[in-house]
Amino acid sequence: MNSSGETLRQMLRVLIVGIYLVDKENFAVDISREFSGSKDWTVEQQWVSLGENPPKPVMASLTVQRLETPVPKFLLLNRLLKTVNLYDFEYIIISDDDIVLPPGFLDSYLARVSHHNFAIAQPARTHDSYIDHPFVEQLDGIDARWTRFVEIGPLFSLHRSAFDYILPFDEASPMGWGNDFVWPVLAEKHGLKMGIVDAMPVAHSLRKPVAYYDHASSAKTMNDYLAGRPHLPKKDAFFILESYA
Amino acid sequence: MPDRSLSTERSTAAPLLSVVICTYNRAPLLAQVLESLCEQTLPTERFEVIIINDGSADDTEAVADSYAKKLPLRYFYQRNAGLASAKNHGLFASQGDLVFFMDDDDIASETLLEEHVKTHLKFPAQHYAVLGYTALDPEISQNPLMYFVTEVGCFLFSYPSLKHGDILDYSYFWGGRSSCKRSFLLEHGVFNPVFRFGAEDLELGYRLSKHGLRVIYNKNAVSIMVRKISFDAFCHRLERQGSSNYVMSRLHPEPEIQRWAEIVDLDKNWAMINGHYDAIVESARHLDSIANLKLVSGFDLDDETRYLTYRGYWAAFKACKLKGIVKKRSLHDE
Repeated sequence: MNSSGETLRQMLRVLIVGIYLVDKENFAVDISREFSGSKDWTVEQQWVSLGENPPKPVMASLTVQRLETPVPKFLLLNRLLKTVNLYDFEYIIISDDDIVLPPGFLDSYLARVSHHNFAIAQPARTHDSYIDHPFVEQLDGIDARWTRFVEIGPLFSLHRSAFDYILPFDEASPMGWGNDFVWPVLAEKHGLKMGIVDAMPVAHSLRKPVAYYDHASSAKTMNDYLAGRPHLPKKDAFFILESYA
Repeated sequence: MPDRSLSTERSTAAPLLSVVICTYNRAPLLAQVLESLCEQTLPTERFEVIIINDGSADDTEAVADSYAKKLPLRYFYQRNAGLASAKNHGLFASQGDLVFFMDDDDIASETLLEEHVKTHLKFPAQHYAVLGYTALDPEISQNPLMYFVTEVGCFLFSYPSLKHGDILDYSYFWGGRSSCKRSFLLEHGVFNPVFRFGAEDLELGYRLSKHGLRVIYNKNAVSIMVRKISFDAFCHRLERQGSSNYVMSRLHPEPEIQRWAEIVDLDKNWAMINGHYDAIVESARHLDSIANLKLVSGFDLDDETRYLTYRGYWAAFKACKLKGIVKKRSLHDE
């Protein structure tokens, strides 16, 4: 990229929206520090703390809301995003607090996301992560892939071209379960690309997701949710249209 | 309630078969494999070919290009990452209800794909996979080593004990000649990328066995191996296989896997070989040379030469595999 391109990139803004469980072990400090180290983007971070303890001092300035009682993640995100002028930002990144980002994550990740025009994207998960869907595990030997699936967490990004179609999040599934099978339908309807960035995998190994949810109950909630709206079945969602090495 | 998913559900009478070929620096062989897929009795609208180029530095891409108009083919490139990663890449790039992992050095008989599909139609439940038969090309079937590793010592394939229609366990989910329902893998597990060569198929099969995997043997689903493996190449192959065996044994501590991986009595067995390893391999190499020289010179192999050569192979290949296990263990322990 030439110097004028660099300058243009410097002007683009990215909003990080994170939720962290303040009463439990979490990596919010490291995650937010990694984001703030970006050289290519102007980064704004808005974190919500869930739990009774006060935020650590280093997180206090980034914490825009403190909630002592649990609120479903996607209701919370909608509430927060309602207060933001979305189109001030090129990308919004939604992050959980239990991941480890590789050094230089944001610049490398968004460079690939923007290069491939992924409107909805996620980093792959490292091999040693807790993985619900093997499809999102890092594929060695490639940098990124155009897919029909992006998972609702622990971290995903939305380009501004997707805001009108994905936001606000569908509150019929307040925890987000099943959204990831509906998003590809919306994305394809509106000509948006989805993708996974394998070159910048995140480790998701602090908390085992099923340990925190009733798996059977979440599956039923998801199936009920999906039954009422167009979606892709797994066999069609877990599909690579193109890969990039 | 009607299914509102966007699934382009095909009739179960006509499932789509994805043929996944992972390849590394074998462009001339790949051309032969693709040529054989142009001659299938299964109509081209019933299958697709997915090529995963695992970082080849040769003409693999050009070969794939040259078949793009003759076959329903999609080509993917990855930096060299090994067989398990490449297979996962292919699995996820597949659109088929069925996925057939085919080796890049096996030529398809005309009915190969049709036979795989026929067996799946007969056994439509998700947990049934299909194992085809791989024969040796007549050009290499008389080669003493190739004959030994397929018909006698069964270091490469162990078909002699199988009967058409056998319903087998996970240990027959052999890479390069097996097909399965794509959804079954998506739901229950994919290849472990830690395996760059060897054991990736068995390891996945073992995990899938917890979800009921069974393998149907169809001897009429024939592919033909055309690549002759030299003695030294086979020794190297077994060393790598041994290394993968050790990894498998670490992942699955169950006794049956320890036995399969030859970890049981490893120290005792290696102690018998260790001091003689070079002599064992050199002796077998020498016997292999003599046997081949006789054949090239127009002589038949007499029983004594054949017996001695096979004994040499047996000892050398066992030793190479154990060496691979022991080497990997020492690396792990460091």
